[in-house]
Amino acid sequence: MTEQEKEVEEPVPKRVTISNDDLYRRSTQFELWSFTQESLDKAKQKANKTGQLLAQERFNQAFNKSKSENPELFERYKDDELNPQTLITLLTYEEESKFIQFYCQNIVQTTDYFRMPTQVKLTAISLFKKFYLINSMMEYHPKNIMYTSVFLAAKSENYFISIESFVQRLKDVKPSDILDLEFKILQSLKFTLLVHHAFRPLYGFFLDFQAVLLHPSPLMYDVSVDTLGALYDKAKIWLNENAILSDVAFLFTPPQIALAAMYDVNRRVTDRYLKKKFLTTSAVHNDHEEIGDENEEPTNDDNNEIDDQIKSERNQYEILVRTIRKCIRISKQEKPTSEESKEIDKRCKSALSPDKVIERKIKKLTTSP
Amino acid sequence: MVVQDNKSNSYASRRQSNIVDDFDDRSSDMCPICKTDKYLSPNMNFLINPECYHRICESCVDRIFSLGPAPCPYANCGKILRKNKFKQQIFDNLSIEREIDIRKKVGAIYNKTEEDFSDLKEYNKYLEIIEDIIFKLNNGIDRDQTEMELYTYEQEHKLEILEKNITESQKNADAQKYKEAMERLRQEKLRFEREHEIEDLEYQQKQQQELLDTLTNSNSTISAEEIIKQQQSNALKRASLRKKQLQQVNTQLEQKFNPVYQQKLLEQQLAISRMPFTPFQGDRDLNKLYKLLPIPNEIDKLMDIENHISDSYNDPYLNKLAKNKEYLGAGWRLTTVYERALDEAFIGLGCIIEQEKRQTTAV
Repeated sequence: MTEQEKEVEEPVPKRVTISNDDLYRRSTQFELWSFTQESLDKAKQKANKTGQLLAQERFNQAFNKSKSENPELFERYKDDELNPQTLITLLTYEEESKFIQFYCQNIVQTTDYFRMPTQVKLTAISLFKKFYLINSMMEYHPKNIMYTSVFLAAKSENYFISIESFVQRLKDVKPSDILDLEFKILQSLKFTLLVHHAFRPLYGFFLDFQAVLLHPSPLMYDVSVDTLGALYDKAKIWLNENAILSDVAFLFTPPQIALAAMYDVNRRVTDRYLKKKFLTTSAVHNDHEEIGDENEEPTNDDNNEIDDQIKSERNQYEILVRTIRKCIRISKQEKPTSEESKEIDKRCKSALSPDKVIERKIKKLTTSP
Repeated sequence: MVVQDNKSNSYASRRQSNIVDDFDDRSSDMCPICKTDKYLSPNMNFLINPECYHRICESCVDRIFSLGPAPCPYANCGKILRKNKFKQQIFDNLSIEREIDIRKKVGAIYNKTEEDFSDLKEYNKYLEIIEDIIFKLNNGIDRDQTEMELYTYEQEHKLEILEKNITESQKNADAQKYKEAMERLRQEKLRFEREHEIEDLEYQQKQQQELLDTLTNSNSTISAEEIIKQQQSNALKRASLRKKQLQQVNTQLEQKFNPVYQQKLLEQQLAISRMPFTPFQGDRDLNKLYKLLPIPNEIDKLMDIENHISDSYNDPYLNKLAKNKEYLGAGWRLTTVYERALDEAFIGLGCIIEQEKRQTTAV
């Protein structure tokens, strides 16, 4: 009987509240595709290393094959022209990241060419980047991966375009080139297709800026709906120019990136907004002090509590601003020039097909004595 | 594995084959007793009795068995049949009909379900036992012995079987069956108590006898009163122990089958299930980080939206959409757009990836 009673008295499971941040923590974007700077670098390096090993193996095969075909030539030039050490091309990790950025610019051009919505463009870039966090350029050449990412993103963002009409408008691409890669990309993505971008939070902040700064009465003399609209437009351009090419999507959450855009475009207004929004208790408390202490002497306990609250708020605010600043800094890394990327493209191609490089070399050596 | 026993049971198997032969002897749809033919009287029905499975027409059954049990009219059969056991044949093949009957009979006794076993292996073993019994009965191998075993099992596990029946019928929401089972359980309990009483009585008599014996054989060191006292205290102890036992058994049965107790359990479960369904194992925090400004939602205001948003959000692009009657007719609302955008603005704002991811990798 006692046991049964215990069972009856067992407390009803405690209720847990789930904040919106907790919801974000359960998204695949947070679970699988969010990194610290170090772990992101590590992932890239790992992809690069496996790519290098693959390229090495491919090179060795091609080298040994052509060596067995004309051994005396290899014997003659073995120290300089046909030395495997000089003949092999491997992309470094830095080269790969630069090249990825270059291709992200290409994605922007491609999606603009197809007049696809921004959402598709952003998702395509995201898919492309994630793919090269797992794989290396020395395994898959980025050109077709890029097209496949765009095609896949169009599908997943509900802007369907048939494979025939897609391929028709591109140069030198067959439907099979794209369709064969589709599943590989999905596999590398671990089948996570939903991406949260910074653009929608940006719009939300545009609205909340209005609510906080203009209502019930304008807080700053030079801020109106029009100036906020201009700020919003500029922030969109900022995101397009800076954020989407960099790695910020892996390092920060979409609202943080959106706020970073606002912050960098107009620091004064955004800071005012953040202070009004996140330092509420201290503002209320300060108001009280301004009115005068005559009304009611707050007890010590109250004071302490308020102090703690102010401290934690201040702390939160500072963390947020620090995060935003860091996000801005990382977004604004320099972009690769087209000469640089052409050079990398050449090296990438030779890493992918070493047999052609060796062949060319042999031809050169045999024709010019 | 069981078939090898066939030789030792030649009698049983012969009897078996006899029946099967008789089953096949149905070339014409004719009652072998009264020779009525189905061709001439199409309304005639054949009945069978699970004792011997001989087909007899309905009118013959009425004629022969109305006055009470009588032997089967088939030659070489002679089994005593009762009228109430006759039934309509369901399966054309009588051997199947018979197996189904056996299955029903055994299933009513071996009625445990998978829930009663700790693991699948045990349950499978149990099923194997059942199948063995059915096979033996069906094929006439060790028939008498198996039937004896079945009977003893039924006697030994009577309570369990009843309980199982009750829970099963409860599950099936079969009120009638449930009532019946409850009644039988009550009787069972009474019987249990009566048994106890009889036992007690016997015990008392025995005690008295012992007391007399000891008194007559006792030496003078222990006085008679002391012996009696000891006896009495022993009896008292036993009685209280007995009472406790009885109570325990009663409460156990009560808890298992008392509807009130069941209700209590159900309510407990309900209390847990009554909590709102939360896909994330917790309630959503409904305090939003933003305060939604009043958004016009009436048609007149929406049609002239520029003059009604002095205290609301202002987005020229959406203002245009808000007036679109096709959108409005389809259920599109300005509020949802604004709300969603604002929600998205604050989902994940407080997740500092740098810190949180480092913690998780450190762990």
